[in-house]
Amino acid sequence: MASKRIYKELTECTTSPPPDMKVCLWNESDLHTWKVALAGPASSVYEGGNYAVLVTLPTDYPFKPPTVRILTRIYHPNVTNDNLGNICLSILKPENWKPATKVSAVLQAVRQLLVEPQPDDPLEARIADEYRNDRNEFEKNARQYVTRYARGPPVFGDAPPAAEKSK
Amino acid sequence: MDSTQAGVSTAAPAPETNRGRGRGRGRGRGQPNARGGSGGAGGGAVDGGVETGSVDNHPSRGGRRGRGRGGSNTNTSKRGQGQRQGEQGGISAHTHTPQAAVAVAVAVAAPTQGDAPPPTTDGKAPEGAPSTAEGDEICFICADPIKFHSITPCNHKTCHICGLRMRALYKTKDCPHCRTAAPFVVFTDDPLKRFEDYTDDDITSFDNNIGIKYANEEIVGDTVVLLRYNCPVSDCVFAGLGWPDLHRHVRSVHARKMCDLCTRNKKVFTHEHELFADKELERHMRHGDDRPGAVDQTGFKGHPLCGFCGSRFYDDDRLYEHCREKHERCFLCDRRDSRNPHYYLNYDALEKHFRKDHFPCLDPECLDRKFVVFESEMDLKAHQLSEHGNSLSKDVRRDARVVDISGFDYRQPYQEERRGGRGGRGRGRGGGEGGPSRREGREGREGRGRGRDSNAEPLPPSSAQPLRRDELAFQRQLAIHSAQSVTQRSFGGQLSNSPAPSPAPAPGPAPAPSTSRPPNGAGSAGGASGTRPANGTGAATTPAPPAATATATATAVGNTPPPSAVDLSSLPPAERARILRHSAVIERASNLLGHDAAKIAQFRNHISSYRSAQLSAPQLIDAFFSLFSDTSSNAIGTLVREVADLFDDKTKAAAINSAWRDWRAINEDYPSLPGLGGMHGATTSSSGWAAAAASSSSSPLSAPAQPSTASNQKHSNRVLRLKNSTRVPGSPASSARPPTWTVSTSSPRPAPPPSQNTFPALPPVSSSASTSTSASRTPTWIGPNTHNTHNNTHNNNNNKTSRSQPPPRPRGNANGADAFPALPRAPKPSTTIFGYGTGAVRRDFGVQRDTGFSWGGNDGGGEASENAAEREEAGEETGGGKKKGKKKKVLVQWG
Repeated sequence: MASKRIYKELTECTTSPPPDMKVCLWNESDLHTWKVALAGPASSVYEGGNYAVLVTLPTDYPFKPPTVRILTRIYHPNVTNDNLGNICLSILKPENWKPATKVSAVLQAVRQLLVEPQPDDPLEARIADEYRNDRNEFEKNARQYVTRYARGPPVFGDAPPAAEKSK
Repeated sequence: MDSTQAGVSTAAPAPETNRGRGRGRGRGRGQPNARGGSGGAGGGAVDGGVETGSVDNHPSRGGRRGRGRGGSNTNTSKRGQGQRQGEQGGISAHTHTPQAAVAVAVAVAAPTQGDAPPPTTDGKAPEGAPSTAEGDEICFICADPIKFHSITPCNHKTCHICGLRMRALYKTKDCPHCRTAAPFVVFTDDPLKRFEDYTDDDITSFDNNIGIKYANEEIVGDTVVLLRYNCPVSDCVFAGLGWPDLHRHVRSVHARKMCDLCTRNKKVFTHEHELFADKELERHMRHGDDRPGAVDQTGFKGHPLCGFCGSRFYDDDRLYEHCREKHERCFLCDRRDSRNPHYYLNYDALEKHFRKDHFPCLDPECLDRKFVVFESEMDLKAHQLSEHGNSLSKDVRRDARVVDISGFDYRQPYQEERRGGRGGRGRGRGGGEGGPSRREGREGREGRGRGRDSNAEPLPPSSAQPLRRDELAFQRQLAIHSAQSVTQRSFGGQLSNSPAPSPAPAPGPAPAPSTSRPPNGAGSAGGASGTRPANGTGAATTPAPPAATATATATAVGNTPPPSAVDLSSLPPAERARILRHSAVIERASNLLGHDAAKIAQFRNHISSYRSAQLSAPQLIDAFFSLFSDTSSNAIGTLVREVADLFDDKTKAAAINSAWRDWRAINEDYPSLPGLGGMHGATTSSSGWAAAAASSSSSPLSAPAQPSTASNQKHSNRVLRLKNSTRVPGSPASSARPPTWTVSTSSPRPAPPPSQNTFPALPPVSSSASTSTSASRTPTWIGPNTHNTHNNTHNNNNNKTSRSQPPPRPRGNANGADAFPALPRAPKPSTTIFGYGTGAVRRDFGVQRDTGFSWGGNDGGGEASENAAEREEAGEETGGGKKKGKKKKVLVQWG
């Protein structure tokens, strides 16, 4: 039932992707797993980085929100600083999710998050503190991460990593 | 009026688009428009012309609309739209890409030409226009063409199916576009009319429970049918009484199964569930039944398994919930490695693990209390000194205080602090008993100043260990509890600087978490302090155990004086008790409702209308269900019982209780589909599914039975499927219909002329019943008849709908799937039927009326149908329908 909508959104996203992004399916036969190559937005500290973003649409999308993960390591208050790259995005929270929201809007929100981190709603409290109190240090670290992890083309891996529940 | 204006304005673009392809398009649009104009306000499809017309002529409305539209389209690439048009096979046969461009051009032309209208709409109109140019609007959510519109108070639109899905299945009444609360939406076939323009006169029926107002009865039918327990088999028209019934049907008739987990949890309409053979079901459970690459792929990867129990759960969230409740988690391991949860089968297993890998306190009291376990030996020692100091001999105590520095490993201070912290176990090394961990301890030991300090002093327990703050807090918490529950211990007393009074008054609750299984306690232990007392208080305030709560809450209420409580003491004891009970019920209800005043008022309303006999008991239960949609059925059950107790009238109380039991029996633990309890207006809960269903399987009334048979059948099948796709054949007919319907509905039982001509009319009462039956049950009648059945169904439906007022019959449940085959198929002479068929419709009608329901005739029909001419069959079927209808109705009520 949802496949029609997903297909439609996918067509939109591939033909006119949101800025700095390239969207495709993880594998052609699975509409529910998207990979998105996100270039760090210019003028942000992530400029020059290439990020592999995994978007997973649940079976009852669009009634339930998709999950988004940044597979490339990134130094950011709202992204877990590990291989999971879980991301904290308010529009994706179940209580805020609207079925009318499109994936492209979600992706733009992700990009916006790189431009403007939200230290008040952090996943990495330490980085958030640093962002608030010692911006220079934060930027230095973030750039370091970019050079260490995010140069070169985004690495997605072979199979979509299973979403581990860190509950 | 809109429509005429639309016609005018659309005329404008047509000449404009004269060049090239633009022309073809212009024309394509123009035609449907014209029709819309003549067809009257209700008109079906949205076309560009209509849209722009409205924009031009009603700037305010148009502006809004344009905006909404624009939202939907802004993200859409032009090319995407072109494709959509192609897919929809809309009006024109052009190819995609060039068309898109043209469409845009036309659209732009339209508003400017129509009349250089308000500048604001100009910008937006072009966006809206291309999408409408295809003739059908696309639902924002499901991307299917919209048949009926669901309009929210904020004037956002979806298709009625998505609207219903959100409300009935996801139980959310927020607008899917903007999350504005929408207590009611309007289901309508008029895409332009704004929500606030609907008056009570425009609404033929409304449903309080799921909050839907229907603009005509056809929509009621199409909507309500989706909420029945329809069989997923595409050409089966069976609708069950409830989940168990449907399961039985699927198994016995189709030899397939439905996934129990899916039926319990998946938020889809019943007919959207999958059917499986045994093996397929297994595969579904393990790996999911996703069909990669298929158009209808779901992305479902199977139901996760609990390794301890071997049972599967609907999704990861449910599995997590289960593990949290049924299994035990090691908070120490979790703390060390937060990536994966560390579960053990039960507390015994966990305790073994504690003994093996951690440092539990072996004191019997602590064992009893559970979860008294430490990450390091030094932590344990500290605990022993502080908790059990009094029971130890002086020597032992002294020994315990000795920190075995032989295990200490002095390192240079350049070591990072964090590593030390991680070393965990090695932190404190007391009497040297810690065999297994000794090595680790040594490695982990960092030569920090702390260690040396603690050596120098006789270590008062508090300073002895570099406990993390949360650990400290936890220890303190423990200390408090032990101080209360046992005797005063000097240390405990010292440590308890947290507010002693709060736990003190609640000696009961406080120990509770520890005695039973304290899963929460475990969680909190991992996290921090505070949770324990929280538990205690929680138990005291929130009414968890049903029995105790009534009194507890009652007293609580009494303290915070409600108006009635003021002179409570002056009342006679019986009266006082009664008031207390009332307030207890209200209290519980408001807890369950999250203290939402509006909902509580609704709750009171329901009860008073039941008291005044405006609601039947089953309706009351239905109403509760939609009201307490977030609550578990157990909690509702408790509430229902308490409500029943409030009634002095024993019969009323008994009625509630039995309605509740019936509901439980039918639905077990399955999710409820909202019943018709909230329906008012032309379709009411008493007219039931029958009427609703009847209107759903709408087919052209006037169509002669034979030719339309095939299409009818398809049609009714579609109805029972989710009516996703535009019904190409059906839609014109349906659009033609509404007038008929309304007419017939208004008059109690006028014999609808068209139907009568074609088919023998049924006695009104029975006919209403029959319609319902026919729609749902026909398939059961068995193969050969189906075609006829469908035709009949339609007729019946018509009749029925028109007479939707039959007195509410007790909906019995008589027929499940099983009941049907058992119906008396006694061979009645086909002649009877013949008589029906041959006889002039009117004549028959009269006769039948007298008869009431002619069961014999019906039965005969069933049998005879094979031989009988189609007409006859039709007649029989109707008869059959009647029968079924009755039964069905019975069913309906329960549902």
